[in-house]
Amino acid sequence: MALSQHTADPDLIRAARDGDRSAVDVLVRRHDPWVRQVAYATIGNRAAVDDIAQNVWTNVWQRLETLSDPQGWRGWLYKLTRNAALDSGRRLARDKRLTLALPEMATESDEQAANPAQHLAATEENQRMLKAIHGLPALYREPFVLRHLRDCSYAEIAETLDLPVATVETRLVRARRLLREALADN
Amino acid sequence: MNTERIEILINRALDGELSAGDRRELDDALANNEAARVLMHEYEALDRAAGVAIHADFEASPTSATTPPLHYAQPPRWHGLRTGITAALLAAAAMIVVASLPWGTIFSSNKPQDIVAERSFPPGPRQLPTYQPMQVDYRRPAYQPQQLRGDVYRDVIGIRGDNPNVIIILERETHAARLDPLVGDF
Repeated sequence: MALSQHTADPDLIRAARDGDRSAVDVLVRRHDPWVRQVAYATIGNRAAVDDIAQNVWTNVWQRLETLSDPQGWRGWLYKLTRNAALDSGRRLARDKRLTLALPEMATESDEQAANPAQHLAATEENQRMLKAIHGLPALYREPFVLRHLRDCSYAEIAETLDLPVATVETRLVRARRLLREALADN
Repeated sequence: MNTERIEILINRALDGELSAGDRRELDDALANNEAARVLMHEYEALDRAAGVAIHADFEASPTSATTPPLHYAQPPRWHGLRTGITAALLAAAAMIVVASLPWGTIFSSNKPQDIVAERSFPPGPRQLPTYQPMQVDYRRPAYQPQQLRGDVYRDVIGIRGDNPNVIIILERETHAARLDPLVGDF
């Protein structure tokens, strides 16, 4: 079967299982942005997103044989991504306890100078907002960040997070309420 | 209308999930309730700022979300392996074609009688079956006759190249599969 950018995911997965590396190539190109957004929504740390994405795709390549139902690929990929992001978050938290604050600040400053987008992210208002967003419990932060990054509908977020639509709506309401309260306190 | 209901409607409005009934309810609340208007302005400002902060932070990542990184676009391992496999397959195919190609079947003339006259087979231990070459019209590139002599199939494929006076002929002989009953005390 000739593979292309239009080949359906289940067909790509079957081809990849049969050893077709180009199928994996198409899967990566197609889903990498989504993996990164989910990773970012889960962990809230852009610096870790690259490593998480790389871990996810390595795991996908190694574990594709264990995916019993190719139709359930997206849910399987979400779980891999979320687990990788949580592992990364735990590692970062552990490392942070062992690292002095000064070198970290210097690194951030260098990054900001090198990239205008980073400079924008570094503005005081954005930092305050990001701090409040990152301070949200994960169950509220994930749908909220996905909503903004992907402009998803409630139904799309529900599908990604494997939640009922009503739960997604409730969590978004609570996320905004908590954010409003957190920003009012500061 | 209580504050919680207003919050839900405001959230739906921000997320583009308002139904027609919701819209009427929200418009009514905004028209008659000063607290609802204040809440709407606060949530609109909060959501806008959150969106800007999230996008700025995420896109400040060295490899932004929208474009797969270079090492995914050209995975060296996969690329190298794919090239190796392709080269090996091409080499194997070429060896098979060369080994099965009776030298002298590539002619510079289109005349069938010339072709017959120039046919020659490489010496070898296996005696090739004798054919009736006049049955093959080599001037028709798509002509792919198949003859069965004994248990050997003979196929001929003509491939016309850029030069209209040259047709490249590929011949192959394959042994037919046989089905023989095997009887014994199993």
